[in-house]
Amino acid sequence: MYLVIVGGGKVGAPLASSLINEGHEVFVLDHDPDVVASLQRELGMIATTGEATSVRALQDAGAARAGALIATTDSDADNLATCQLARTNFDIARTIAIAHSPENSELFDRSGVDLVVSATDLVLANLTTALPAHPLIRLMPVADRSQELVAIKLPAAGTAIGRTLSELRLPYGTKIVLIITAAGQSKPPDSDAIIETEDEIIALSPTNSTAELWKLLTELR
Amino acid sequence: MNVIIVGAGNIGSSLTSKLSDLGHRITVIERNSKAVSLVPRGRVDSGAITVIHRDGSTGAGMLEGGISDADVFIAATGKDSLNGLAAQRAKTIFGVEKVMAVVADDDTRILYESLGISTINKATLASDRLVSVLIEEA
Repeated sequence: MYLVIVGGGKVGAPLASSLINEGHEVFVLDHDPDVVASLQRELGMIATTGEATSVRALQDAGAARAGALIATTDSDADNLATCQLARTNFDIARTIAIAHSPENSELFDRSGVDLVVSATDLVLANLTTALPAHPLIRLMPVADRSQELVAIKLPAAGTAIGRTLSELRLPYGTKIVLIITAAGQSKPPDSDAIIETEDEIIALSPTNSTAELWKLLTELR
Repeated sequence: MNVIIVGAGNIGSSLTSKLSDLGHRITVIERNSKAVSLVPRGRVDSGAITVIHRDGSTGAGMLEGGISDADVFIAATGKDSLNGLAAQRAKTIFGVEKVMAVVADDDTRILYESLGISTINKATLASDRLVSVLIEEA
């Protein structure tokens, strides 16, 4: 697929390189001639100098024939504008943008950006996974990130222990997929399945309910 | 009317003065405390104009500027895309009826107009003024 990346910095440059390795045709637009020169040295003639919010520059980068545009500049304002300009001027199929500020994720979403990647959420997700107490592991985003598959390890002295699944007031939309016991045995997530110490629960969770689910399952007595 | 103006540069300040002349209550949100020298001092002292030093493109800055009671929101910083982002936040998130953005680039102006944001063009403003001066003199 032909992909236009706007912003060739900390995110854009490695992204370009990995997409090229995956066999995609990539072109990078950046306002900084030094960034463009360095991309050209490392990856070939796949970058040009231009403003993220200039329709002319987007055109020069080949936005008219791109399957997707990915906005990775440091400026949330530019990331939104470049996606919207690409959508209205080139009818681009898919726009993807990084939102550095958490409050901009919702705004981007409601302003027509097809996929919003929240920088803060990514860092938080990784940190949460790395924390040793009651681990929450985000296994996989599902359905355009509106849901996610998560694994939650229950603490030994949690309030959930000894209860059945139906007794837990799970957040709306949450589906328990599998329960894995401390011994590594799996048990089916029937409504009368009893939660035991150090069970690991695999769940399909609406992304905005995962924190609530985690709290419910790991609350201590 | 309650009007919020983000940015106290040349355009922001001149809009502030004019709308204040017409009797509207203006809140100017300007991040840089040194950049409000063009806002009429007397009106600030009398309380007709409120100046807040925050980032007016953020939800927190807008809330402190009284966005919930605003009738008009005008984004007048020097950066088109920031004005567009702020205007879209005011409209989409806070539901302000009348939202305007100062825009220099023509393609960007067309985009924002299509999103229901009124645009104020720096160049057009200047030429309008020139035309009205010429007409007055003729």
